[in-house]
Amino acid sequence: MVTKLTAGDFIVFFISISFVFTLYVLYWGEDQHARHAEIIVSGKKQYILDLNEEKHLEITGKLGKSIIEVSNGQIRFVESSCSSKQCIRSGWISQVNALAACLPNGVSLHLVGPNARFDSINF
Amino acid sequence: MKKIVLLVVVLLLLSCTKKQEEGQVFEETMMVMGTIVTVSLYGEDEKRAQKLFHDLLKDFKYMQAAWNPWKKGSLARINQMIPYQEAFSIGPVVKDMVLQATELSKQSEGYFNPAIGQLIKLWGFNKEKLPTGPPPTADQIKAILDKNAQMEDLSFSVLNLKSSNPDVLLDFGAFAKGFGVDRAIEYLKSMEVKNAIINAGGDLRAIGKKGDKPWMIGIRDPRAQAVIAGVSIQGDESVFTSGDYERFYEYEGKRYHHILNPKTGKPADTVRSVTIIHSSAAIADAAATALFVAGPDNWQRIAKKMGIDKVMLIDQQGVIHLTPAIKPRLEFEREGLDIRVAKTFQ
Repeated sequence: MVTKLTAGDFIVFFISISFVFTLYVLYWGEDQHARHAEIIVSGKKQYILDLNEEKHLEITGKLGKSIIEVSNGQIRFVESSCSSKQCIRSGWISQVNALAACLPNGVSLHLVGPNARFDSINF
Repeated sequence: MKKIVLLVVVLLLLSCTKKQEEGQVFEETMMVMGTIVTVSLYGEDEKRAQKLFHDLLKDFKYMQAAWNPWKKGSLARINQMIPYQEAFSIGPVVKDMVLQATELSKQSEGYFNPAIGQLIKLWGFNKEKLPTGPPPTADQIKAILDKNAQMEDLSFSVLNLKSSNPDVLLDFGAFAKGFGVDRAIEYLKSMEVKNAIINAGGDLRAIGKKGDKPWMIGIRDPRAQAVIAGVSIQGDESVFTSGDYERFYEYEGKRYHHILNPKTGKPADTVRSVTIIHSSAAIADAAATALFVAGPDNWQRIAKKMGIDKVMLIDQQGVIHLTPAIKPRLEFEREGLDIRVAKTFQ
């Protein structure tokens, strides 16, 4: 017996395909934007920050203070006790696997996300 | 109708399977060897991964202490003994390091030269704190270049080392990272680890895969906080880059970076970055420095002499020069790049 497709069938089909497409984008997609930043102090993971929450964080490292700012899904070093200020020069970082570090002060930022397109970054 | 419902159910079920297939990557970040080292392991359970991280951290700390030419350790001792021009004993690992570095220095026609520690010291790049004052004068640089410190000045008799030139001062800054990564990967292999990445300050060696997919590596754009190209690892490969953006200082508006040309005594300034893909991290490390210094005019000759066939060199105009062997391996992230393949490179 052949059943005819109704307009309702097509609507269900369309909604289902849209739903699957949304899941694809969310879970298979190649969004390189990081969701979280891991803050490593003297080799130990001390904080995990949500990049969608605005924040200023003061961290005490080997030399003294490092001040970290989170804003608009990005993160950066704002102040540091090191002399070279290379960490501040790194500027804002936002992509998965991006790193910024103040080696003299022993503080580093490592960005992580669920859909990292790259397993590691070469620079 | 039933067929459509079935199709939708199948599609929905398929959408839920990815995470279970992927397995887990365990990752640990360490501050060692004067840089950040990230180790990624796939196919290990958490307990074993933690043990491996612990062992690697211990090994890297040992290497850091032994190979720092400017602090107390094996290499610093060698540097103290060299000026006496008498034979003295050294450890087998450091001997391997010196021998491999000497061979690579010869192949590179001296563009990679770890004997120029005096020059590095003169510029102040031996310290964690970067210089702030004026660069060295032409006379100061010439005085050091005239001493002609070369790796070939060193000779071995079993485990005894002797230098015929008292002004050799070893600094393996352009090589120790790669040599250390090779040792660490060898350790992981000896522990039957099949899938791993060791990334030391942006330079890495990867083995195996992540499940059924190859490890994917992003190569950073030397002039932007973005990836310029991606590469998928085939089996066991190292990806090393030397760039003018890594360590530098500015004086009166001019930028001075840390990669010195052993022939001019000044920072090499014709290239933004050089990326090498090679099975050995130590060779990739030395070659990235050598080709960076050799520049657009000489890199092809030096690459051939060093046995390197996968090179991406980005010159100061932003032109991307590729060897034929690296071209099919790279997936560029944007259109409109000026990419040239070195046709004479065979």
